[in-house]
Amino acid sequence: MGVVIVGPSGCGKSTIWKTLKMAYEKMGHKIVTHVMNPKSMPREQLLGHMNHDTREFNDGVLTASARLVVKEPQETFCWIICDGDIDPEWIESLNSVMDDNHLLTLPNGERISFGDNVNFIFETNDLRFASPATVSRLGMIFLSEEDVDVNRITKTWINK
Amino acid sequence: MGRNIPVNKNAGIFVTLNPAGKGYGGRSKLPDNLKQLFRPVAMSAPDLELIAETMLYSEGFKYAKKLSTKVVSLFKLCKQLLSTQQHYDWQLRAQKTILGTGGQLIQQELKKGRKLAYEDEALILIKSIRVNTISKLTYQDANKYEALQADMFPGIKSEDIAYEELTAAITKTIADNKLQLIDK
Repeated sequence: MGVVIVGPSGCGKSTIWKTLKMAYEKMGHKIVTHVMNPKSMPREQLLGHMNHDTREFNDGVLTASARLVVKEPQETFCWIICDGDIDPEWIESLNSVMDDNHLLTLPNGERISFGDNVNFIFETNDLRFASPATVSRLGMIFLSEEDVDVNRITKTWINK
Repeated sequence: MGRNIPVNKNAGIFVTLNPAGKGYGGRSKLPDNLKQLFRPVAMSAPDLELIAETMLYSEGFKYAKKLSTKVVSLFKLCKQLLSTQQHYDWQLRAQKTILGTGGQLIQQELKKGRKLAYEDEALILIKSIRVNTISKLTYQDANKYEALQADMFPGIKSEDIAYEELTAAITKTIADNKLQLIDK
Protein backbone atom coordinates (compact mmCIF):
# COMPACT_ATOMS: atom_id res chain seq x y z
CA MET A 1 0.00 0.00 0.00
CA GLY A 2 2.63 2.50 1.07
CA VAL A 3 6.16 2.69 -0.23
CA VAL A 4 8.80 5.11 0.91
CA ILE A 5 11.86 5.94 -1.15
CA VAL A 6 14.58 7.21 1.15
CA GLY A 7 17.72 8.90 -0.08
CA PRO A 8 19.64 12.17 -0.33
CA SER A 9 18.86 14.75 -3.01
CA GLY A 10 19.90 13.81 -6.50
CA CYS A 11 20.03 10.08 -5.91
CA GLY A 12 17.12 9.38 -8.22
CA LYS A 13 14.06 9.05 -6.02
CA SER A 14 11.70 10.69 -8.48
CA THR A 15 13.40 8.97 -11.40
CA ILE A 16 12.58 5.59 -9.87
CA TRP A 17 8.85 6.07 -9.79
CA LYS A 18 8.78 7.91 -13.10
CA THR A 19 10.63 5.05 -14.77
CA LEU A 20 8.30 2.53 -13.18
CA LYS A 21 5.30 4.52 -14.33
CA MET A 22 6.52 4.64 -17.92
CA ALA A 23 7.37 0.94 -17.82
CA TYR A 24 3.86 0.08 -16.66
CA GLU A 25 2.41 2.29 -19.36
CA LYS A 26 4.47 0.39 -21.93
CA MET A 27 2.87 -2.78 -20.62
CA GLY A 28 -0.55 -1.28 -21.27
CA HIS A 29 -1.56 -0.28 -17.74
CA LYS A 30 -3.13 3.06 -17.05
CA ILE A 31 -1.54 5.01 -14.20
CA VAL A 32 -2.86 8.13 -12.53
CA THR A 33 -0.49 10.08 -10.30
CA HIS A 34 -1.16 12.87 -7.85
CA VAL A 35 2.01 14.59 -6.70
CA MET A 36 2.16 16.91 -3.70
CA ASN A 37 4.54 18.27 -1.12
CA PRO A 38 2.85 17.74 2.22
CA LYS A 39 5.26 19.94 4.14
CA SER A 40 4.53 22.97 2.01
CA MET A 41 1.19 23.59 3.67
CA PRO A 42 -0.38 23.45 7.11
CA ARG A 43 -2.10 20.26 8.19
CA GLU A 44 -5.56 21.72 7.60
CA GLN A 45 -4.81 22.36 3.96
CA LEU A 46 -3.46 18.86 3.46
CA LEU A 47 -6.00 16.72 5.29
CA GLY A 48 -8.96 19.06 5.21
CA HIS A 49 -10.61 20.78 8.12
CA MET A 50 -13.97 21.35 9.64
CA ASN A 51 -15.27 24.85 10.23
CA HIS A 52 -16.55 24.71 13.80
CA ASP A 53 -19.14 27.45 13.36
CA THR A 54 -20.78 26.30 10.16
CA ARG A 55 -19.83 22.60 10.52
CA GLU A 56 -18.84 22.77 6.89
CA PHE A 57 -16.00 20.55 5.72
CA ASN A 58 -13.29 21.88 3.43
CA ASP A 59 -11.24 19.32 1.54
CA GLY A 60 -7.47 19.43 1.71
CA VAL A 61 -5.03 18.62 -1.07
CA LEU A 62 -4.57 15.00 -0.04
CA THR A 63 -8.23 14.34 0.68
CA ALA A 64 -9.25 15.89 -2.63
CA SER A 65 -6.82 13.56 -4.44
CA ALA A 66 -8.15 10.66 -2.40
CA ARG A 67 -11.68 11.39 -3.58
CA LEU A 68 -10.55 11.49 -7.23
CA VAL A 69 -8.58 8.30 -6.82
CA VAL A 70 -11.42 6.18 -5.44
CA LYS A 71 -13.55 7.10 -8.45
CA GLU A 72 -11.06 5.46 -10.82
CA PRO A 73 -11.83 1.92 -12.06
CA GLN A 74 -10.03 -1.01 -10.43
CA GLU A 75 -7.74 -1.59 -13.44
CA THR A 76 -6.26 1.88 -13.21
CA PHE A 77 -3.28 2.11 -10.89
CA CYS A 78 -3.40 5.27 -8.80
CA TRP A 79 -0.38 6.64 -7.03
CA ILE A 80 -0.54 9.44 -4.53
CA ILE A 81 2.98 10.75 -4.28
CA CYS A 82 4.03 12.74 -1.24
CA ASP A 83 7.30 14.36 -2.21
CA GLY A 84 8.64 15.99 0.92
CA ASP A 85 9.93 15.38 4.41
CA ILE A 86 7.98 13.04 6.60
CA ASP A 87 6.49 14.62 9.71
CA PRO A 88 4.37 12.81 12.33
CA GLU A 89 1.98 15.75 12.10
CA TRP A 90 0.37 14.31 8.98
CA ILE A 91 1.81 10.85 8.41
CA GLU A 92 0.31 9.47 11.61
CA SER A 93 -3.11 10.20 10.14
CA LEU A 94 -2.25 7.91 7.25
CA ASN A 95 -1.38 4.94 9.49
CA SER A 96 -4.79 3.35 9.04
CA VAL A 97 -4.47 3.77 5.27
CA MET A 98 -1.19 1.90 5.16
CA ASP A 99 -2.19 -1.16 7.20
CA ASP A 100 -4.77 -3.82 6.35
CA ASN A 101 -7.72 -1.46 6.80
CA HIS A 102 -6.93 0.86 3.85
CA LEU A 103 -9.19 3.47 5.44
CA LEU A 104 -8.65 7.20 5.51
CA THR A 105 -10.68 8.92 8.20
CA LEU A 106 -11.30 12.61 7.55
CA PRO A 107 -11.57 15.19 10.33
CA ASN A 108 -15.36 15.26 9.84
CA GLY A 109 -15.65 11.54 10.52
CA GLU A 110 -16.10 10.58 6.88
CA ARG A 111 -14.25 7.48 5.80
CA ILE A 112 -12.64 6.81 2.44
CA SER A 113 -11.81 3.20 1.68
CA PHE A 114 -9.10 2.57 -0.90
CA GLY A 115 -8.96 -0.38 -3.25
CA ASP A 116 -5.88 -2.44 -4.07
CA ASN A 117 -5.18 -0.25 -7.09
CA VAL A 118 -4.20 2.72 -4.92
CA ASN A 119 -0.66 3.17 -3.62
CA PHE A 120 0.99 5.87 -1.59
CA ILE A 121 4.57 6.72 -2.47
CA PHE A 122 6.65 8.90 -0.16
CA GLU A 123 9.89 10.52 -1.15
CA THR A 124 12.05 11.68 1.70
CA ASN A 125 15.55 12.46 2.79
CA ASP A 126 15.41 10.54 6.07
CA LEU A 127 12.99 8.90 8.45
CA ARG A 128 14.23 10.66 11.55
CA PHE A 129 10.79 11.86 12.52
CA ALA A 130 8.81 8.79 11.49
CA SER A 131 7.55 6.64 14.35
CA PRO A 132 8.11 2.87 14.40
CA ALA A 133 4.38 2.51 13.72
CA THR A 134 4.87 4.28 10.40
CA VAL A 135 8.16 2.65 9.47
CA SER A 136 6.86 -0.87 9.99
CA ARG A 137 3.87 -0.20 7.75
CA LEU A 138 5.83 1.03 4.75
CA GLY A 139 7.67 -0.82 2.06
CA MET A 140 11.16 0.62 1.92
CA ILE A 141 13.53 1.48 -0.90
CA PHE A 142 16.77 2.81 0.51
CA LEU A 143 19.18 4.69 -1.71
CA SER A 144 22.54 5.70 -0.39
CA GLU A 145 25.20 7.94 -1.82
CA GLU A 146 27.31 4.88 -2.57
CA ASP A 147 24.68 3.73 -5.04
CA VAL A 148 25.10 6.82 -7.20
CA ASP A 149 28.30 7.27 -9.07
CA VAL A 150 29.25 10.77 -10.23
CA ASN A 151 30.60 9.42 -13.52
CA ARG A 152 27.27 7.88 -14.34
CA ILE A 153 25.40 11.08 -13.58
CA THR A 154 27.75 13.00 -15.85
CA LYS A 155 27.36 10.40 -18.58
CA THR A 156 23.57 10.55 -18.38
CA TRP A 157 23.71 14.32 -18.55
CA ILE A 158 25.96 14.28 -21.61
CA ASN A 159 23.77 11.71 -23.36
CA LYS A 160 20.74 13.93 -22.88
CA MET B 1 -26.53 19.38 20.51
CA GLY B 2 -27.98 18.70 23.94
CA ARG B 3 -29.28 15.22 23.21
CA ASN B 4 -28.72 12.19 25.42
CA ILE B 5 -28.22 8.83 23.84
CA PRO B 6 -28.41 5.81 26.15
CA VAL B 7 -25.61 3.36 25.39
CA ASN B 8 -26.23 -0.37 25.33
CA LYS B 9 -24.81 -1.89 28.53
CA ASN B 10 -22.94 -4.49 26.49
CA ALA B 11 -21.06 -1.86 24.54
CA GLY B 12 -17.37 -1.35 25.25
CA ILE B 13 -14.83 1.25 24.35
CA PHE B 14 -11.27 0.16 23.74
CA VAL B 15 -8.25 2.38 23.27
CA THR B 16 -5.00 1.11 21.83
CA LEU B 17 -1.88 3.18 22.35
CA ASN B 18 1.77 3.12 21.62
CA PRO B 19 3.92 4.09 24.58
CA ALA B 20 4.44 7.84 24.52
CA GLY B 21 8.04 8.95 24.75
CA LYS B 22 11.26 7.67 23.26
CA GLY B 23 11.19 6.73 19.62
CA TYR B 24 7.59 7.65 19.04
CA GLY B 25 7.31 11.03 17.43
CA GLY B 26 4.04 12.87 17.63
CA ARG B 27 2.55 10.83 20.47
CA SER B 28 1.01 12.27 23.58
CA LYS B 29 0.05 10.48 26.78
CA LEU B 30 -3.58 9.82 27.57
CA PRO B 31 -4.60 12.39 30.19
CA ASP B 32 -4.71 10.89 33.69
CA ASN B 33 -8.40 11.63 34.32
CA LEU B 34 -9.28 9.74 31.14
CA LYS B 35 -6.79 6.99 31.82
CA GLN B 36 -8.47 6.22 35.15
CA LEU B 37 -11.67 5.29 33.36
CA PHE B 38 -9.96 2.53 31.41
CA ARG B 39 -8.49 -0.72 32.62
CA PRO B 40 -4.92 -0.94 31.39
CA VAL B 41 -3.73 -4.14 29.75
CA ALA B 42 -0.04 -4.28 28.89
CA MET B 43 1.08 -6.22 25.83
CA SER B 44 4.45 -7.89 26.01
CA ALA B 45 6.57 -9.26 23.18
CA PRO B 46 4.66 -11.50 20.76
CA ASP B 47 5.58 -15.15 20.29
CA LEU B 48 7.01 -14.69 16.80
CA GLU B 49 7.69 -18.34 16.17
CA LEU B 50 4.18 -19.52 16.97
CA ILE B 51 2.66 -16.76 14.85
CA ALA B 52 4.95 -17.54 11.92
CA GLU B 53 4.25 -21.25 12.17
CA THR B 54 0.48 -20.77 12.25
CA MET B 55 0.54 -18.32 9.35
CA LEU B 56 2.72 -20.59 7.22
CA TYR B 57 0.51 -23.61 7.87
CA SER B 58 -2.61 -21.68 7.00
CA GLU B 59 -1.03 -20.43 3.77
CA GLY B 60 -0.30 -24.00 2.75
CA PHE B 61 3.32 -24.60 3.70
CA LYS B 62 3.86 -28.22 4.74
CA TYR B 63 7.20 -27.62 6.43
CA ALA B 64 5.92 -24.67 8.44
CA LYS B 65 7.55 -25.72 11.70
CA LYS B 66 11.03 -25.96 10.28
CA LEU B 67 10.66 -22.85 8.12
CA SER B 68 9.14 -20.66 10.83
CA THR B 69 12.12 -21.26 13.11
CA LYS B 70 14.43 -20.27 10.30
CA VAL B 71 12.56 -17.10 9.40
CA VAL B 72 12.39 -15.95 13.01
CA SER B 73 16.09 -16.67 13.58
CA LEU B 74 17.04 -14.89 10.37
CA PHE B 75 15.18 -11.80 11.50
CA LYS B 76 16.72 -12.01 14.94
CA LEU B 77 20.20 -12.25 13.42
CA CYS B 78 19.50 -9.36 11.08
CA LYS B 79 18.45 -7.23 13.99
CA GLN B 80 21.59 -8.10 15.96
CA LEU B 81 24.24 -8.17 13.28
CA LEU B 82 23.24 -5.57 10.73
CA SER B 83 23.77 -1.90 11.44
CA THR B 84 21.13 0.06 13.31
CA GLN B 85 19.20 2.27 10.94
CA GLN B 86 16.23 4.49 11.46
CA HIS B 87 14.34 2.78 8.68
CA TYR B 88 14.93 -0.86 9.64
CA ASP B 89 12.11 -2.86 11.09
CA TRP B 90 12.58 -6.50 12.06
CA GLN B 91 9.49 -6.80 14.17
CA LEU B 92 6.24 -8.66 13.78
CA ARG B 93 4.79 -6.50 11.03
CA ALA B 94 7.80 -6.93 8.76
CA GLN B 95 7.67 -10.63 9.42
CA LYS B 96 3.95 -10.80 8.66
CA THR B 97 4.54 -9.05 5.35
CA ILE B 98 7.01 -11.66 4.17
CA LEU B 99 4.78 -14.49 5.33
CA GLY B 100 1.90 -12.91 3.40
CA THR B 101 3.97 -12.56 0.23
CA GLY B 102 5.19 -16.12 0.74
CA GLY B 103 1.58 -17.22 0.92
CA GLN B 104 0.73 -15.56 -2.39
CA LEU B 105 3.74 -17.18 -4.05
CA ILE B 106 2.98 -20.67 -2.76
CA GLN B 107 -0.65 -20.36 -3.84
CA GLN B 108 0.53 -19.64 -7.40
CA GLU B 109 2.70 -22.74 -7.29
CA LEU B 110 0.01 -24.95 -5.77
CA LYS B 111 -2.51 -23.81 -8.40
CA LYS B 112 -0.20 -25.22 -11.04
CA GLY B 113 -0.71 -28.54 -9.26
CA ARG B 114 2.92 -28.94 -8.26
CA LYS B 115 4.07 -31.10 -5.39
CA LEU B 116 6.43 -29.02 -3.27
CA ALA B 117 9.39 -30.50 -1.44
CA TYR B 118 11.11 -28.77 1.48
CA GLU B 119 13.61 -27.15 -0.88
CA ASP B 120 10.84 -25.64 -3.01
CA GLU B 121 9.04 -24.19 -0.01
CA ALA B 122 12.26 -22.77 1.37
CA LEU B 123 13.02 -21.17 -1.99
CA ILE B 124 9.57 -19.56 -2.07
CA LEU B 125 10.17 -18.12 1.35
CA ILE B 126 13.64 -16.87 0.39
CA LYS B 127 12.15 -15.08 -2.61
CA SER B 128 9.54 -13.49 -0.41
CA ILE B 129 12.08 -12.37 2.20
CA ARG B 130 14.35 -10.93 -0.46
CA VAL B 131 11.68 -8.96 -2.29
CA ASN B 132 10.64 -7.29 0.96
CA THR B 133 14.04 -6.87 2.59
CA ILE B 134 16.85 -6.25 0.12
CA SER B 135 15.54 -2.88 -1.07
CA LYS B 136 15.86 -1.32 2.38
CA LEU B 137 19.32 -2.56 3.28
CA THR B 138 22.33 -0.31 3.06
CA TYR B 139 25.14 -1.35 0.76
CA GLN B 140 27.24 -3.01 3.46
CA ASP B 141 24.29 -4.65 5.13
CA ALA B 142 23.14 -6.19 1.85
CA ASN B 143 26.40 -8.13 1.65
CA LYS B 144 26.09 -9.23 5.27
CA TYR B 145 22.51 -10.26 4.67
CA GLU B 146 23.54 -12.59 1.83
CA ALA B 147 25.89 -14.38 4.21
CA LEU B 148 23.24 -14.67 6.90
CA GLN B 149 20.72 -16.07 4.47
CA ALA B 150 23.20 -18.62 3.14
CA ASP B 151 23.91 -19.71 6.72
CA MET B 152 20.26 -20.01 7.59
CA PHE B 153 19.20 -21.90 4.49
CA PRO B 154 22.25 -24.01 3.63
CA GLY B 155 22.22 -25.72 0.25
CA ILE B 156 19.30 -23.72 -1.09
CA LYS B 157 20.16 -21.32 -3.85
CA SER B 158 19.09 -17.76 -3.52
CA GLU B 159 16.71 -16.43 -6.12
CA ASP B 160 14.60 -13.33 -6.63
CA ILE B 161 11.08 -13.25 -7.98
CA ALA B 162 11.29 -12.93 -11.74
CA TYR B 163 9.09 -10.17 -13.10
CA GLU B 164 10.00 -10.83 -16.71
CA GLU B 165 7.50 -8.60 -18.47
CA LEU B 166 8.10 -5.70 -16.10
CA THR B 167 11.89 -6.06 -16.23
CA ALA B 168 11.80 -5.88 -20.02
CA ALA B 169 9.57 -2.81 -19.91
CA ILE B 170 11.80 -1.08 -17.36
CA THR B 171 14.94 -1.85 -19.36
CA LYS B 172 13.32 -0.36 -22.42
CA THR B 173 12.15 2.74 -20.56
CA ILE B 174 15.64 3.28 -19.18
CA ALA B 175 17.08 3.08 -22.69
CA ASP B 176 14.42 5.44 -24.04
CA ASN B 177 15.14 8.03 -21.39
CA LYS B 178 18.91 7.67 -21.84
CA LEU B 179 19.36 6.66 -18.22
CA GLN B 180 22.07 4.25 -17.12
CA LEU B 181 21.32 0.69 -16.12
CA ILE B 182 23.46 -0.64 -13.30
CA ASP B 183 23.38 -4.42 -13.27
CA LYS B 184 23.55 -5.62 -9.70
